[in-house]
Amino acid sequence: MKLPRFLKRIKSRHIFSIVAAAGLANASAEPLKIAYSDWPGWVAWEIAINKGWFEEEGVDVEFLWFDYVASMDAYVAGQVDAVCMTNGDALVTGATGKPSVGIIINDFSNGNDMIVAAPGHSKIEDLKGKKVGVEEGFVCHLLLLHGLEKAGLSSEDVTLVNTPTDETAQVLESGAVDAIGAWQPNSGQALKAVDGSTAVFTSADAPGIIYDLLYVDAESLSKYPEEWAKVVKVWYRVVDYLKDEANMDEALEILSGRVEVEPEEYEPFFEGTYILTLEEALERWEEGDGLDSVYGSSKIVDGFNVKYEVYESPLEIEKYLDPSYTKALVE
Amino acid sequence: MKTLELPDYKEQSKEVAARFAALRERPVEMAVCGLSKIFGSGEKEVQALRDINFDVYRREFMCVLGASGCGKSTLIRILAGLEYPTEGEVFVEGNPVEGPGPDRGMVFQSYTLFPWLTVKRNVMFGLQMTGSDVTSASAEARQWIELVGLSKFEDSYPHQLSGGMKQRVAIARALANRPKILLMDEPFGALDAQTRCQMQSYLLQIWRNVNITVLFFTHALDEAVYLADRCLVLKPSPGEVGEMIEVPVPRERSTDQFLSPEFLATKQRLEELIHPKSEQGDEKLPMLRLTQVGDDVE
Amino acid sequence: MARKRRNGQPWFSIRRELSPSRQTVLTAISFLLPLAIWCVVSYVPFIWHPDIKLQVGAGGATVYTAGDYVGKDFFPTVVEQVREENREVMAERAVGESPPGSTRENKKILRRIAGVAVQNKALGDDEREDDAKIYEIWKGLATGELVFKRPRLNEENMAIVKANWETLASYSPTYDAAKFPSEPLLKLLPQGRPANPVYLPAPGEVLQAGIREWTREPAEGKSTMGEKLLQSLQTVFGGFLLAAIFAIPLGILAGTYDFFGKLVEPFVDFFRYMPAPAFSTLLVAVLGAHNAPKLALVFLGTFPHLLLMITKTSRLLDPALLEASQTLGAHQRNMLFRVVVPGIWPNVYNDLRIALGWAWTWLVIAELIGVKTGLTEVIDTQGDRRNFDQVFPVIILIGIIGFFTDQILSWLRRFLFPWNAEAEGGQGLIERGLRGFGRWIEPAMEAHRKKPRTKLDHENVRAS
Repeated sequence: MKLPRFLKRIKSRHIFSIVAAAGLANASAEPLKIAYSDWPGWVAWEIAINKGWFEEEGVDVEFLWFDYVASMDAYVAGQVDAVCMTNGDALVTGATGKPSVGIIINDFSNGNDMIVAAPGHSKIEDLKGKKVGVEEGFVCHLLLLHGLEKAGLSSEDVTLVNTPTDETAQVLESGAVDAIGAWQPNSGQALKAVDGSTAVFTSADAPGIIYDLLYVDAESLSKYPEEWAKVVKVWYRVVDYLKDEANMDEALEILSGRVEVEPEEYEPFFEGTYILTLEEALERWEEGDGLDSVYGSSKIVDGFNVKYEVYESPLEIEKYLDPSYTKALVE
Repeated sequence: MKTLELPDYKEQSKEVAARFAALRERPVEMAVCGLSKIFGSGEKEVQALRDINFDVYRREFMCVLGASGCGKSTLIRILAGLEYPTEGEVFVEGNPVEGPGPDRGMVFQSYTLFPWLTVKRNVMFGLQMTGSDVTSASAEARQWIELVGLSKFEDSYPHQLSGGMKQRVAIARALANRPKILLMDEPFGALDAQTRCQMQSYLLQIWRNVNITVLFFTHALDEAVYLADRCLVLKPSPGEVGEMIEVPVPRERSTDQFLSPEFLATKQRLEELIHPKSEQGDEKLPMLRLTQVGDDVE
Repeated sequence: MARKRRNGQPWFSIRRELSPSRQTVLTAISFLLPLAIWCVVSYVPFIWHPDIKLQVGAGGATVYTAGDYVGKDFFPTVVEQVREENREVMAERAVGESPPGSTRENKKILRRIAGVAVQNKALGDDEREDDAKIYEIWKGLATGELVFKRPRLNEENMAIVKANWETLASYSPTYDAAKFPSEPLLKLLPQGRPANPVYLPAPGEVLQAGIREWTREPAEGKSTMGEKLLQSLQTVFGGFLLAAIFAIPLGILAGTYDFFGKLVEPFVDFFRYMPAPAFSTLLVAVLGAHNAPKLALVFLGTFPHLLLMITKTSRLLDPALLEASQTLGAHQRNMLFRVVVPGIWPNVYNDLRIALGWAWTWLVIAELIGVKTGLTEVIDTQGDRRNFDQVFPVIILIGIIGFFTDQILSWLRRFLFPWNAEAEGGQGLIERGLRGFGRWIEPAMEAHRKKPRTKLDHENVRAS
């Protein structure tokens, strides 16, 4: 792509992405580009960026900040080498755009993803025959379906209104729908925006239904395996840091700084995210059928997606997951 | 009613007759041969001009006269090269006209000064177009501006000038290129009566002092008689040569001559040609009385 | 004797211009009136104010922090939830159980006083997480050494302060991280004042937020507001300049030569109806996620309209000027560069001014595609988080920049096109301001130039 010279200059002067300079030898001339978005488990990368741990590890990465959906678009368009997504969205992105391989399980959603209902609905059964605003095909759609099935209902029992996640709070407030599906901060905004609204179903009711991972383009992974291994190593430094309660204030400061809100405002979001330690992550990497395995969770999600025609036929879950990078850390 | 006894407009004093004899001896500056112009085609076809022939002699001042809609503008545009004739040809000093060119300077009724250029730059425009460098063009332009008496305004922009001044700049601009013929398309039509009168005498002065042939298009009879050696009268629809009149008023002209018998006689003849009697009768407006008017007032 | 008309002309007169001083007065009012309405709605307590803006936050099912808004009717429910939690703590204490708790939870409970403390200037804005200082504040309040006045804590909360201090003092009279209690403390009850909905912050809040955001040091790696403004300006002016660079020559050619007109115009006319944002995903895929697709979007939104406008503008040039130049010996190239271009330039300049306005309207959409940047990042992020007091200053700033850019460009016209001065009446604010200034210094100038005015030619120079 040839750009006029002055355009190139503007491009090279951007200050909004953080380029961690390579230490010594780097196999790739270009930095590894990772798209991340506003989810506490992913904003946590900010700690490593801030503290210069990538430089210390000698890996050249560039983190690019997006809206969640835009980050997946950027990955599909080939603008980045890796993207932070949920295990469910990785399957959808793979089936409809570009497959990827998950190498790090950052966390599982432990309450941040919610179905928030307007006053007068106290449990998910109350939504029967009502309108629910969710971004179709994405993680909260899945959460809703799971919640409905648990309550003995099906997707037929509610009317879906396709709503961008960042507008769910306003949509609920307008009264156009009876409930919405969103994750923090949008779910919390919806709760605050509509007095008396309640979360009728959250990811805490089905821990493991939503895992958050780092998904890498298979080509980049096979080209630069050492570099990605270093990225995994850096992540577990972040986890160790976060697990020490004494670091909490500093961590919140860094995380909330990224999204420019007060730390106090950010803390509740963080609490709805269960960051997995290395040991916990290894357990989740074990193959199994339940929600406590990332394989089981993905299989369940795959089933949902096929059943509700998000895509046509089941995917090979194993191709989307590669535990070897995490396992290598304990060997 | 008593009317003035006017002489025949064809009667010329000895002096005037000698002038015209001399004029006819001069070389032909512009020859117009069999010009026709048809606009449109098929049913919408309109013939604007038909078989126009005339010669203009060197240093002659000729007026082309006609009622509005008789094809005056079409004719001048063809002479300038801005329009192509359907038939016939125009020659300037024996060379056929192929398009607009600096040998025929033109002054438009709407001034057409370049509003973004100062007076001097306007006058320099043509000189620069025909290859003069800035210094010589500037010096040359100054002379012409002086000739039209606007030296004080050489750095003004057109919007700061009055209509008469604008037209003087336009004349200077056209003359600066040293054209062989100056084509003037109702140049004073937009001016008030007093300014118009001044401009006419200015123009005569300029014509006397500059080696130029003038072809002046107008619909004003006084103006034509006052300015012209000969008047070419166009008949309307389609435009045809009505008559070529040799104006019997002696040079040098002055406004005092407006009431001389030869002036009035020529004007009367022009009047007859342009507004035939029969037509005038047809154009009487109906007069309705809408209010009571006392007889004593009438 | 004719009656002296003191006011010259009436205020209402069809299509008559008012005197400059009256125009200035009305211009001032046109800005002050909306501001006044905004102030009245915000500061007169009995007008509207359907919500409570919290000064002390609340935990519970939904975490309300200080500054959040709760409906007036719902507020008691929120308070009651916290009361209930406190009652549970009290009940457990009464039976002598040592209920589970954590020091971190307790620190958070104590920190909840920070908002009020900052407003009372007992705590610095950057000390909200300074546990030692907060410990001292609780002590001061409980012992009466410290009194909060604006806002004050209500009696129920003062009782909680005293009860909590009793617990704290039993561990340590001064802050000691090692001796910090883990048994659950009581929570302060939510407290607040009437407020309009979060969508309409008061002018004072907007001003404060604006000053705060523009003066604070950003988190590491993040850009300051100034840098964000610069990014936005780059996007607007970059996209606009690109559009201008392509539209001006192409538009002039299309308006001058029928060949280019017929070649370019029909497609552009079609293309301009396609909404530029529809191309955003495509642009990111082709141009990457940084500035290039944003510039391209501004370009796509601006270019087709600008091109068509310049084409039309070029056609408006008086054809007689072209004919005049031909009779003066000009040929194609000179007609284009010496007549068409200078002749339409002031109108092209106006077209560009209008197009710059469009570029600003595309900015917000452009900055959202790919990596969010510039002022829009603030609008979008803080809007999502309902911090509208931070959104307003940015929106107002964009308005001010756009407005003044246009005014300055309008004012520059008279220097760029002195020959075209009459075309523009000079109604711009800045222009009027400068003229006002001119009137003010006129007497002084007059004293200096004693020279009488020279009489011009008998055909007087038209007043310009």
